Amino acid sequence: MLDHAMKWDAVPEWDSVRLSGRSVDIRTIDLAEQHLVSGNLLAFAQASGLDPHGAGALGVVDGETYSIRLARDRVLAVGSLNVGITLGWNTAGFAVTEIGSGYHVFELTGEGIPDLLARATTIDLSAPGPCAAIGFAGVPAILYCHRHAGPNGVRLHLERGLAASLWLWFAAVLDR
Amino acid sequence: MSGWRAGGGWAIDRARPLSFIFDDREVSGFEGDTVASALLAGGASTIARSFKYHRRRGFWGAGTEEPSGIADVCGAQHRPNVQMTVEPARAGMELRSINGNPSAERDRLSFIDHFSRFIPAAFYYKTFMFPDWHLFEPRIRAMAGLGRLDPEARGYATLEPINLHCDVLVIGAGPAGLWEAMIAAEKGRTVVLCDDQRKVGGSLLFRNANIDGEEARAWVAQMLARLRSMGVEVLTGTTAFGRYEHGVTGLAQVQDDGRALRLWRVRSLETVLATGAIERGLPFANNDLPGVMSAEAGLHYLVRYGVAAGQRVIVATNNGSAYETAATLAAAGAEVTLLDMRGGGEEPRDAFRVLAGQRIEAALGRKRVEAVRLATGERLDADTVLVSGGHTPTVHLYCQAQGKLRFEETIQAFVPGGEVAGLRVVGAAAGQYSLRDLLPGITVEVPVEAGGIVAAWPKPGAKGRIWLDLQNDVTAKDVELAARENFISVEHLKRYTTLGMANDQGKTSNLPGLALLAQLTGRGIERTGTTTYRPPFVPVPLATFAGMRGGQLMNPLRRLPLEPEHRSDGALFREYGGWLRPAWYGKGGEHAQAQREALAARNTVGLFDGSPLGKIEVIGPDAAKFLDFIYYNTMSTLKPGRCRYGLMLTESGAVYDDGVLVRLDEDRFVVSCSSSHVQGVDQLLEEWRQDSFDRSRVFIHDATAQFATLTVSGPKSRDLLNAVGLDVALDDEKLPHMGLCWGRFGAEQVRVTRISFTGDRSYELTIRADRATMLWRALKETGRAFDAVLVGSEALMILRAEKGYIVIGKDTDGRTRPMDLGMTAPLAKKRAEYLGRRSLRLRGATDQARDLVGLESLTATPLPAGAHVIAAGVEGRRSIGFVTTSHFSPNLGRPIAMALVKGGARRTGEMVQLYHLGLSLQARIAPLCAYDPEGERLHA
Repeated sequence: MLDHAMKWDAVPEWDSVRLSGRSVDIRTIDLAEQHLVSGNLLAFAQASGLDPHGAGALGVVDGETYSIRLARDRVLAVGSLNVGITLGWNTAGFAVTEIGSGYHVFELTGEGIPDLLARATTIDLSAPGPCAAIGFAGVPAILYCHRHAGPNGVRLHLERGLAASLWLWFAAVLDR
Repeated sequence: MSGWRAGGGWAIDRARPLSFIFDDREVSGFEGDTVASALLAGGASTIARSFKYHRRRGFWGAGTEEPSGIADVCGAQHRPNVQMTVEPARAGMELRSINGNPSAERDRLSFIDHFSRFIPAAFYYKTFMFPDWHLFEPRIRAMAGLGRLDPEARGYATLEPINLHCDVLVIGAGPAGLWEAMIAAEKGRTVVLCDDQRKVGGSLLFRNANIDGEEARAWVAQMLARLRSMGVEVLTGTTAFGRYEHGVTGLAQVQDDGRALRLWRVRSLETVLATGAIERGLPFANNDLPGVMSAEAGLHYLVRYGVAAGQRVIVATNNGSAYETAATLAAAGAEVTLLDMRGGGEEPRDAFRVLAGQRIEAALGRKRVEAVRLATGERLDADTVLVSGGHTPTVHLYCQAQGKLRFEETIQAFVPGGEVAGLRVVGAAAGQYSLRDLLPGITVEVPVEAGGIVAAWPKPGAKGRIWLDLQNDVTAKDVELAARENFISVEHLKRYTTLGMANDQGKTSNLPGLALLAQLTGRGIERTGTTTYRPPFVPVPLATFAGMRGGQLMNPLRRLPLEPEHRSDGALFREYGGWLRPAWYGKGGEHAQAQREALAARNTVGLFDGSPLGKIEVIGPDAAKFLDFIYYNTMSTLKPGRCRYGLMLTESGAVYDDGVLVRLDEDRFVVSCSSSHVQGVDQLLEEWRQDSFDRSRVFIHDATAQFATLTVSGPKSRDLLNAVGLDVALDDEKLPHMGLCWGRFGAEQVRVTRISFTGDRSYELTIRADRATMLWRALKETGRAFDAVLVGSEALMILRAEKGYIVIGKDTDGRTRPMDLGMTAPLAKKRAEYLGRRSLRLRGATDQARDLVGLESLTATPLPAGAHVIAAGVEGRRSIGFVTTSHFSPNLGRPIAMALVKGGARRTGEMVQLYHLGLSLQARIAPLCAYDPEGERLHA
C-alpha cells in the first residue's frame, strides 16, 4: 500500500534537534511573537518604536524586538507590539496580522555560513539588498543577521509547514 | 598501428603506469593521461563509429571540440557520452565506444555505409512513409542516439549548485585569460577564472614560447601562483556552457569522485571571454578516415602527453600555425611532410619536407589513412594526416548574449562584431592570434607565427565524400542537396542535414558548411550567417542542473502541525496539493477505511484536520470593494461575523478557485481558499491589489501557516464541542450556519465558524498552529464518548461528493464557468466589475458549455472517473463530457458520480452512454446532490 509516511521522514522534535557540519550549527529558536505589518510603515514605526525600514537581507539586528523588511510596504515585526497596535486595520494606515506560529525560525551559526548561503541563495553576500525576503534552497524565507547568533550567524524564518523539508536539505548539504 | 609514445609529455607521470578497458581491450597509460592520449599511444585508430553510416572514426581533436571520441563509462558510476579527450584515464575504468556493436573495431552495422547513397540528408523525411512510419520508428529510434544508458547504474551522486558573485569572470585561462585576470585583480576587483582544462594555460599547455624570459609553462605557473595570492578563485575542469539573462553564466565543473558536474551560477559585473579558437579541418575526400586529425591536436598530444599521432605524418595547412606541429613531430622522430596550400612563401626546413602550393584531394585507406592523393595526382604514403584549415574563434557565449558577428577575411573567420554590455571578448576568441599582441609590454618569443591564411572551403561539385560534420555524418553533398531543395537558410540547412547538431554546436562543422552554402547561393559567408548559438556549449548532464533535487528533496513538501499526532493515530499519508496529509486511518486498506470513516462521520461525529485550507487576510478600508472585484459573488454585503461561499474566476472567466470568505470586522476578511491554491490565490490577490487598487487602502497577508483548522462534522458535532468546552454559545441562533464566533481553549483564542463541506452540521475551529495539538487531543479524547471518528482526505471526498460539492481542478477544468456549476445569479445581477466578467459575456462563451450533473450507475459498481460521456451523431461518436468524480457511497449504499456534460442540466433522468478504455456502459443523469437534497442535516 502506497504510504508516503514511509517516503518522508517524520518531522523532527524541534525543541531538541540540532545539525552540525561544514562549520555550521543549526537549531530552532522560538520566536512566538511575530507580526506582518503592511502599509504606512512610518506610522507603524511611530506607534511601535521599531525601525520603519527594517533590516534587509543579512542586515544586522539586535535584541528581542526588531523589524525586518519584506517588501516596499511590508515589514516583519519580531517581539511584542505596543498596546495601541491592534490586529487588522489600524487607522494610522497600516495592517497587522499575527504570524508568530506561522513562521518557523532557524538560527545558523558558524564560519561556514557564507559557503552554505552560496548553495542556498542567489544573494550577493557583499551587497545582499534591502529586502530580507528571499528564496532559500527552493523555499520562500526571510534571512537576516542577529547579534545573538555571533559574527557570521543568521536567522531564517520560513513557513512552518516547510521547515521539515528545509531541515532535510540542511542535513544533506552539511553531510557532504 | 600509428600512434606511439615518444619522449617528453610534461603532463604524465611515467613512474605511475595504469591500465583500463576500452571495448573489452586493455589499454595502458600513465597517470596524467586522458583516455584519448592513452588510446592514441597504444596505437588505437578506430575509437568510435559514426552516428548514421557507422563509418570508422578516430580522434579529431584534443579537447571539448572532439566530435567523434565519445564513449560510455561503464560500471557503478556509469556516465554516458563522455568525451575521451577530456576524460582523465583512471586505473580500472571501463569504457564502451559509441555506435559500435559489439565494438568500434568490429561493428555489425558497418554495412549501412554501403547504402549511404540511398540514405542522404533528410532521407527520413522522404522514406519509411509506406505503409506506416510507425512500423519503422521503433527500430530507427533504437539505432539513434549516441551512448547507451545502463539500466543497472545508480546514476550520478548528486551535488548542490553554487551561486557566486564577482566583479569579473574570466572564461578561459590561456595567455589572454590569465593576463585579463591579472589586470582585474591588480585593480582590486574580485575575480573568478575558469577553464575547461584541468590545467590552466590554454594553448601554452602545448605551444612553445618564451614569455618575459620564462619558458611558457613556467610563466603560466608563476601567473597562477600570483593570481591565487591575490585572491582570484581559479576553477579548473570547469566549462562555461551558457550565458543567461542578467549576466548569469553557467559553469559546469567536473568532479573526480563520480559525482555529477557541479553547477556554478556566476553573476559578474563583467565577463571576459578568453575562450580561444578551434582549429578547422580541410575539405578533401575521405577526410573522416581514422588518422586524419587536427594539427593542433597532434601537437597537443605530443607536447602534453608525449604521444606522437603517427610515424609517417603529412601535415596539410592553409596557414602558418601547423609549422610548429610539423617541427615538433619531426623533432620527436616522425617522418613529416608539410603541404602548404599558400604557395611558395615558406622557408625550406631541414627537419621536414615542405611542399608549397599543394593540397590534398583525397585520403586513401580502408580502416585508416594509408596515403593521400594530391590535387596533382601524386600519391604520398602516410599513416597520419594532420590538418589545419584555420581557426574559428569560440564565440558561443558572446552570441548567446546576443552578440553579432562579422566575417573577418584576413583570418577567414567570424569574430565579434559589436559590443555586448558586460561582456568583452579577448585573445583568439576575438580573432587575435598573435601572442605578442595578447601580452603587451612584455617580451614574447615564439618559434612560429601563424602568418597569413588562404581560404580553403569545400567547393560545390567536388569529387568524393567530403565530410563536414564527423559526428552527424554530414557531407558536402548533403549541403548541396539541401540547397537544391531550397533549404538555403542556414537554420533550415542545419535542421535538414543535422549539420552542427549534438556535441558539435558549431565548433568544427558549421563554418565549412555555411561557407559551402554561401558559394551555392552566391550570397557570401557574412550574409549567409551562422545558426543561432544556444546553451549549452558542451553537453551537461541533467543531474548537474537537478543538483540535490531527488527523493525527499525533489520538491519541498508542506507538513501539517499535527503530523506527529496523525502518525501516532495510524494514518496512512498521501500527498495532496503539496501537503502530506492523512488519506485514512488504520490498516484496512483505502476502500474499507474510507467507507468506514465516511459512514461513521454521518452517524456520529468526524474529526478532520483541515489546516492547509487557505487563511489569507485581506485588510484595509477598501478590502470589501477589492473582494467584490476578486469574487464572482458580491462580498461587500457580507456582515461582520458572517461567512459566504464564493468563486474566483480567471480573466478568461474560468473558475479558478472556490471557498468561503469570512468577514472578521468591517476592514478585515479571511479568504479561505482551496488548500492547494493558497500560493496562487495569494499571488492573484497581490497582483490585482497592486495593479488596480489604491495600494495604501488594502493589504494581503497570507496567514495560512499561522493557524491549524480542525473540522468537527456530523450530527454529534455540537455535543462534542460543548463537551470539550470552548467557552462559546453554539446554539443555532447565536451561531447559525455560515456564522462566526470566538471561543477559548484554555488561554488560547479559537475562531469557530459554522462551515460545512460534508453537508452535515460542521464547525471549523481555527487556532494557533503551535497550540493546536492540545485541542486536537481534547477533541479525540472527549470524542470517544460520542463515537467520534478520525476522517482522512479520502473519506472527506466521499462525503462531499454525496452532497455534490465540488473540488476545483477535479470537478472543473480550465474552461468551466460558474454557470456550468449552476451559479448564474451574479452574472445576471451583479453590477460591480469583477474578475472574468467581460469574458463571461463574450459571444461564444457558451459554445462549449457543459453542466456539472450527477450520474447514477446502473450497476453496483462505481463509474470509472475520467470516462467520456458519448453522443452518437452523423459523424460518429463524440465526447460531450466526462466523469469528474466517482465513489461508492456507504451512506446511500450505491455508487455516486459527478460529470461535466454538455446540456446535462436539461437532461436529468435521461440515459447517457459512457466510454472508457474500450469499455462502453450506460448511466443516468441525476441531480448533483445525491444525499440529503433538502439540506436538513446542516442543522441536525
